[in-house]
Amino acid sequence: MKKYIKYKPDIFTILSIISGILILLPLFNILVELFSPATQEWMHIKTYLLKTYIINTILLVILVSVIAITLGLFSAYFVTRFDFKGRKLFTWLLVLPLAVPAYIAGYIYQDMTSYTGTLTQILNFIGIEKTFDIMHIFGASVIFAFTLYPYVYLLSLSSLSRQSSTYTDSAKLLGAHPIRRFMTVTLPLLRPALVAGSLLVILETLNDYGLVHYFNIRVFSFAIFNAWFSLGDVTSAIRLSAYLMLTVFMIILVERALRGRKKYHMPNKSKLISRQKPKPLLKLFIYFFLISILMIGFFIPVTQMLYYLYLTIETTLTMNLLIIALQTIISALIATSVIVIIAIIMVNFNRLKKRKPLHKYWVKISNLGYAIPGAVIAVSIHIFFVDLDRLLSPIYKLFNPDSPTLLITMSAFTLIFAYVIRFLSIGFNAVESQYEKVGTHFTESAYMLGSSKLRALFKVDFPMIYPGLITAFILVFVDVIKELPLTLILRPTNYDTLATSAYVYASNEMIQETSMPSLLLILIASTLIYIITHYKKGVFSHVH
Amino acid sequence: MRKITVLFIMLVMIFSLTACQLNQAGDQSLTIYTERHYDTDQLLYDQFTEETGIKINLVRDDADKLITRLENEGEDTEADLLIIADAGRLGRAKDLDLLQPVTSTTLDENVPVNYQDPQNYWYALTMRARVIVYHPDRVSESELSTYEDLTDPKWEGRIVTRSSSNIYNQSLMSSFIELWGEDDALDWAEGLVANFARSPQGNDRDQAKAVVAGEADLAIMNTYYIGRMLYSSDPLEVEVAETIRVFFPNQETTGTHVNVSGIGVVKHTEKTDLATKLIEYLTSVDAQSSYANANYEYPINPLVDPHELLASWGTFNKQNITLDTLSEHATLAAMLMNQAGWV
Amino acid sequence: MSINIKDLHFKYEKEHPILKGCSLEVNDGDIVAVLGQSGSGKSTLLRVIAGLEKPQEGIITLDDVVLNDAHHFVDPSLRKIGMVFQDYALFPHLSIEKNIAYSLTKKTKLEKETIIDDLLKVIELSDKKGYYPHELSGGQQQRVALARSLAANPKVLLLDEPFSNLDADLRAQIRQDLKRILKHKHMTCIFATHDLADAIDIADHIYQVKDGIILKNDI
Repeated sequence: MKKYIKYKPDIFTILSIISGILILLPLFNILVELFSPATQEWMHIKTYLLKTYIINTILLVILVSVIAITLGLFSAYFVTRFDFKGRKLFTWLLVLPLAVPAYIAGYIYQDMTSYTGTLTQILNFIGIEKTFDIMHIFGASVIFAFTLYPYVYLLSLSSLSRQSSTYTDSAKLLGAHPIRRFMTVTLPLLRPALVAGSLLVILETLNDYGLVHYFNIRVFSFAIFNAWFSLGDVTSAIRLSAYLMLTVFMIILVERALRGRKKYHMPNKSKLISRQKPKPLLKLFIYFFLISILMIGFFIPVTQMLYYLYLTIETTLTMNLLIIALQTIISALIATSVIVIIAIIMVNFNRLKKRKPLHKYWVKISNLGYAIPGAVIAVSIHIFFVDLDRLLSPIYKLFNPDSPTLLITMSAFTLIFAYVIRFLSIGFNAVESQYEKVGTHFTESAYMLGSSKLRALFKVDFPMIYPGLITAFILVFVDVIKELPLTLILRPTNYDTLATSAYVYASNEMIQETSMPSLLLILIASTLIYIITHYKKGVFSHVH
Repeated sequence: MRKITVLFIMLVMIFSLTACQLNQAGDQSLTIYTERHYDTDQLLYDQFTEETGIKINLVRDDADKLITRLENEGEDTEADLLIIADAGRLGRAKDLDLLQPVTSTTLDENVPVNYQDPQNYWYALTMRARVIVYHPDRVSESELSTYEDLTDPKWEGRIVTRSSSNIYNQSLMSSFIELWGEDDALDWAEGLVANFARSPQGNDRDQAKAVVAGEADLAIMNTYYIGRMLYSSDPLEVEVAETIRVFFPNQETTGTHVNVSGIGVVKHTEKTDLATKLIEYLTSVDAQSSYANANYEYPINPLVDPHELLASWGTFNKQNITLDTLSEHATLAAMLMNQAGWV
Repeated sequence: MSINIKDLHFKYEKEHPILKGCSLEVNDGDIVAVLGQSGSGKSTLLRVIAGLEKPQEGIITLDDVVLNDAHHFVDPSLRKIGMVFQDYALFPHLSIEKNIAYSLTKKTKLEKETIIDDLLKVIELSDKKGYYPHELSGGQQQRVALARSLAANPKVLLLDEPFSNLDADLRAQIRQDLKRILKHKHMTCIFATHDLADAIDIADHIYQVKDGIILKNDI
């Protein structure tokens, strides 16, 4: 008689499925609303506003991508292919603009170019009486590009550092001059990095509410907030979100289709490219280019804010501020930890059973959160938890008769939950790429030797993947503390983060006072960026 | 299976920890959903706490978000009071059945009848006017008269104001719908847009700066921003405020548009008495001066003198409409402005 | 096309010398093997000949044209020397047809087609014209890399470890294929390898590289 070993689903599967369901549930609300009938407000939007929204959004996306790719690509290229004094310093400094949220840069630059602003004063001093107006799509796209290009930069840097010299050497020997080599070999090989980087840039741009609201730019995120809150129509807001998500997916699909059968990387372990010393003119240009980027993306706004800090520190440095800073850090810590844990679970769910497409798509769904605007996630979750609380309130009353019904909804739990949905994909990608470097063989060996899944995870995987975990942790953490729209909507009573604090000051037109929370936020983020770029075993290790 | 149970228990623990830890609503406390919060407000709340022992918890956000939140929370909400910086939105909160009426003799003493909701659902805390500011070198006071006059072709390319998405412009528009009807209001908006010096951008202060910079000659803005600029720590803003002049339109006709910040008691609170006490406090002589001056607004309590800056502008005729009409026409106002191309 | 190499010295910045006075002479149409252990400098020798590295000392002459001496250095793109790397370095984003066509920028469309078709026939991959490198086997990739270099009509062809990435059982066949193609084109060729069997099988002359010097070990 045959005996069968009982099938026990492993822990990763169970937890992945649970996590996935928990993440998808609130998003379900969005789908449900899509099937509601069109409201009068929707007809109004469709007639007067939709076309403008679409055109503006597309224009913004294109402008931001083009500028961000130019900045990120060339800075990465200069820093990997040429040798010049200060090169190593530039390598990590170029990541710093990521510490400056786009909306804060927006407040500051708008202030600096206003009639009473620093830039105008300087120009007046040298005799130019003009004020610069940046509150339009072009101004906004420049600000987005200069604060988000590091995504493109980092991915290009990684790709270029690993590129074998044999490609360009072959091209050289086949008679191609430098520019042709760049256009036909180096650049095409960078395509995956550029695409992935610009996708991140685009998603962040589409999600932003602070900057487009302040600059009064009619794009989709603006529309969503507007329909929702100004016109009071949730259905229209959700429809607009659906449009937005659809556009994002279209972009991704189009890129896939264009790529076709081509591949952009073939694994090899050949010699890496050595750096050349640039000619004096080129060297000058490189310095000019890189320094300009850093000035615009980081040092100018920070310096302006330092001045404002000096003006306002007496009123803004309060106990309250320190509490806010602490709240920011703690909630970020909790959210990030949860994200990294779930990321580990899901990556393991997928990687050891690569053949099953079901697994692949399940984890892809869980990464959906990043493409959905923070505001949409926020309200979706709020509704979800209100319903859940109502469902569970009898249980609450059982433990504590005085318990309020909306126990979860009023707590920080919803906020953290929302962060998880929104940023899971970042953690996931970082953990996944680290696991890919390590491979499956070590873990598989452990299983063959009788180890349980969890034991293998802790004893075998962890020592090898912890650089990736640290990378994931830092990347997610920085994103969480910068987050604005979602936090604005879901925060509990007496709860502010550094980001919301800056926003509140700015909406009350107290730009100078934004300096305190903003600089604190930038300080924390910059410190983390410094750590991650100098971390010996992290993503930057092969670059130096 | 054992490990899974352990993990599950851990999750439940984290869950309950985060859930409970921040649940601060006790008996002797009030939770306010407020749009407005200046640092000086905190001092007032602290004083209230000191005098009464009632702690104040705040949730700060834009009016629209607060209202939506209250809607979703329904009868389970933790909020006791709602403070909003616009009569239109206050009315909306009332229409959505989020507030409850409260009365007291003290309130009636503190707040004049035209600054209360007719059915006592909300009470104003401060008042401001939406006026015309102009550059004296390029515009003489005699050229100005009414809001309607702003659509005259002589002002082409000379007017700036902020976006139509802003609550204050929406209420302004609502008041015109009430006074003139939908069609004339739309005509006005279209006429105004035709005279814009630039596409709306920035906040009210930016409009004043644009006027001084020569980009425009007139701006529509709230009175309190002028105060903010005049007393700003930035000397250049002070300069701007000192350069421009203020004009209260429609003095001979329908009066200048005014709006209020107001407070209402949330329908589903169980602390109606405590909440009313807070409103009485904020509208009292003790608190009004500080509360209004914090933002250079006109106090509501008739016994309290306004800030010297406001006093220097003298008294003026206000629009003779009940403030709840601002909420009645709010959505229509937004749509008409969209239609008129007012970005 | 004969190539003459005299007394090459080379080291990377701040590292130990790799080539310590190499000399070599290759006659027209010969296939020459440079044999050595890994680290012996044979790959570096090829790179220096190709012009991808600049030697500290030494003279390289190709058909009486000086490619490299104390006062001159000719850019690798102008040397008319071809090289196939150990990893083949086929451009992954181009089809094999486009890979082969890479050096043919100055030809007309018709000329290009003729050259490509001709080479595809020689390497026996005519039916895979539109394929991409990752869709081919290792041996096929090597042939394409060879064809790509040949399309540029070089005077000398350098091969770095051409057989080390291939399956053992196909090696003999592939070695003969290579020899056939090279002889068919009357191509002067230098290839670096650590495998004596490879060298014996196809080389006309074998030299040994040890400690940065070439030993005369003619066969």
